[in-house]
Amino acid sequence: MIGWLVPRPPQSAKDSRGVYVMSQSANEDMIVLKNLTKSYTQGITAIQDISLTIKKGEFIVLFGPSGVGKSTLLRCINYLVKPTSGEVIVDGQNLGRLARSGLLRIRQGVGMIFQEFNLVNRMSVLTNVLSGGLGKTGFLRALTYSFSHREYEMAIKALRRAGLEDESLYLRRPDTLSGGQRQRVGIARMLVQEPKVILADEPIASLDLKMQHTIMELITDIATKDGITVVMSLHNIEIAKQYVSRIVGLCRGQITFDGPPKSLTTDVINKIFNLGAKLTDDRAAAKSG
Amino acid sequence: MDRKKVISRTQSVTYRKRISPSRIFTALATITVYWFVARGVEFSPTQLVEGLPGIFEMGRQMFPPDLRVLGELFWPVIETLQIGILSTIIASIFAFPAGFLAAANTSPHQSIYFFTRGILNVFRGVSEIIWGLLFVVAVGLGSFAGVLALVIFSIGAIGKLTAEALESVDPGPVEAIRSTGASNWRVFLYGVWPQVIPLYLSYCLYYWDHNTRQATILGFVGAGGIGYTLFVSLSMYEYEQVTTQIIVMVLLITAIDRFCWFLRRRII
Amino acid sequence: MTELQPKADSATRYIFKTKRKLRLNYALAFIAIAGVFLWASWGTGFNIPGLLSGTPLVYALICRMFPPDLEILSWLLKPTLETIEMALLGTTIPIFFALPLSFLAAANTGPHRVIIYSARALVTACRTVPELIWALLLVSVVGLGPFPGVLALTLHTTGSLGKLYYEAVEAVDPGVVEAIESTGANRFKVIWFGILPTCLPVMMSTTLWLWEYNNRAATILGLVGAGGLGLALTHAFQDFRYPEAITCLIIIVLIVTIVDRISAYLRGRVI
Repeated sequence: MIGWLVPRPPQSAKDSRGVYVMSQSANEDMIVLKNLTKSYTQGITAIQDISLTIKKGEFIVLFGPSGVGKSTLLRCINYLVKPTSGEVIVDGQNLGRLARSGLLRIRQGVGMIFQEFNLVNRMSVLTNVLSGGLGKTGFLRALTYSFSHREYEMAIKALRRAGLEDESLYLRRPDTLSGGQRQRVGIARMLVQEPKVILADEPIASLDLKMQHTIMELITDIATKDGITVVMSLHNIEIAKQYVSRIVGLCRGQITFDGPPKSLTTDVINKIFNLGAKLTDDRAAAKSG
Repeated sequence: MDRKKVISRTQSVTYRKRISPSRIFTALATITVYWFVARGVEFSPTQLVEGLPGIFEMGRQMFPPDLRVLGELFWPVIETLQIGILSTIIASIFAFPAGFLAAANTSPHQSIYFFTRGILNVFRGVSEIIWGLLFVVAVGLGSFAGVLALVIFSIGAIGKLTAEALESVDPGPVEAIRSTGASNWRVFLYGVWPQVIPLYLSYCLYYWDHNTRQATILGFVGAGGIGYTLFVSLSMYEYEQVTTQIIVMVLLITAIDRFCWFLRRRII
Repeated sequence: MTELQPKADSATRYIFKTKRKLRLNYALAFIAIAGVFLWASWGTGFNIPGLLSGTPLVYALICRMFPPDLEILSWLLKPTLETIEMALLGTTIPIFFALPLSFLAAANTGPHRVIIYSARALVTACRTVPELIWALLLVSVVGLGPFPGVLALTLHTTGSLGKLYYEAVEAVDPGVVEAIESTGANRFKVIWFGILPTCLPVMMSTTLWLWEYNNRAATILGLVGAGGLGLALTHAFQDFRYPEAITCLIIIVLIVTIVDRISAYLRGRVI
């Protein structure tokens, strides 16, 4: 085995379910954002002074209209986007102060799923799922696209858990699959990482209604069984209310709401979408006139 | 609003747009430019018409084609094929790293990017036949010069196309692989490379076709292959042989064309 | 995750078998290409020692070329203009021939099978004969100068454009054609309003690409006497006036770069 050539990250302890236990911090906070700001050179500020604390095992939804900074915020959590100022602390580690190898190690524990699925169409479904474990694969193995038996078994288990039982799909290309199946492949890819955190960027926006609920149930099931913290961005309020216990509303790069779905009244929603009184006035006028 | 007025106003607007002063100006300017260009190029249909009888004279000298030389042409044809494929193989190996350095999103440094782009532009800017001329002068007559010339040109051509392909890669999958915590070269190998590889292979195939075609003419400047035999026959005024050689050239080019088209259908 | 099930094991075995076959194919392909490489190297006399001994020669040539001879710049103006003009005419004139030919040669617009095949044959014939050969033949007919060069480029480009055009026409979405046909338009109107606007961007992009190509082709036609910078370059080499040669080369590179830029700009604006 080539394994001894590659320095492996320190193996953390596993609990009875085989899920990695937090190795670094003792407290319950998984993700802490402090005064996070991201602005681009054209003078556009995507997110402004955001402070958020997310506990281990929570399932929160970032809610708001398009372009309000949800995607940027998500990507700041695993430092795919480097914030202009502020701190991101994941699992007790301050991402801004980590060396590159430390950052990669944190990212290995953070799984991500996307609106457009972001699968590589040229590789088979199986290779796509295997590429989720690239952070831990050996050098020569990754170079020659040759994964071990164990990695293949993990990938197949992940695919089964994501709901793709049909093995004839595994060697096909993703562009021959339906949208729902593709998102399942994306979820399987994330499962191979055995993540502690899931970041989901509008995972159901490209799916039809029934599939939206199926995927949401799948994600919720995985998250509760494995104790994974989930941060998801959605713009569909009905689904958000149905599945989560905490909603964070964003408007123009700032947090305007943070609480349980019950408190999310129409008034509050209007404020989030910054529609304001004008809309209610127009509606009243239309009703009477 | 009055319906007739609306219609006539719409008509007049579209009519006015079609014959606007700016369009007339552009048309006149183009005609003037072409007038000067035609004069500069000594465009003279009369010369062409006068020369037409010359075609018959030439035809008389060139036909019937001398088929006895067909046997002698076998090795030059093989040589041409060899030049074509060898130069493509060598160029393909170097063109990918060159394209990698010349793409804005994968190049390690801004200066490397500009430098590589500049070099690739020079490589493909100069026609391969001129490169052939240069290398013949440098290393002597023969197919070695031809191979070098085509290698240089193809690195430029395939490299530039590969760089453009790398720049137009879909960033989504790349982001996805980055988010799994893979190091940069693994992100490249699994996110970028699978997207670029079909384009890259199709460019290599296309330039194999192109190179073999050019190899037939490269011999004209002394770089070996069937072009060289053509040049020799021409200088000795053996026109029937020239005809045979041209026919063989055309057949060779057609055969390569077909073969590449067939390969492309099978691989991509 | 659930424990290992027998099914996962058999699936993995099947996948490994498939991968082994794929690996074998790749290995065979690699061996085949390596074999061709060796055969071609033997035939063309390409080898590492030759490369090593040749490099100083190339370097020596480059040294003899610099510094470039700038005195001939004024004298080079005419050939430069000739080259640019040859390329321009050689790309724009063929459009008038290639466009109708392409509609005759395309399977979805050609009126009759015989016409389609003959149009395609004509296009292929023009395209397969290299420009240099056309130039050679035409110089014998009309004499030296840039005029035969223009004709040679026109002929060859009619073939190239014709082929690329008819491929574009055939790639038009049949839905568009159906839509126009259902309005009861005759064949010509279907082409003019349905097919032509749809494939116009591809055709323009192709024409611009061919303009870039012809610029380079125009520089070499001088080799056979058909005018342009190729003639000056050949003379410079024959008379061993290398600094002149490098000046010509620099001008050629400049022309090609400028044309490429203009072409990229036009492409951005028009397509």
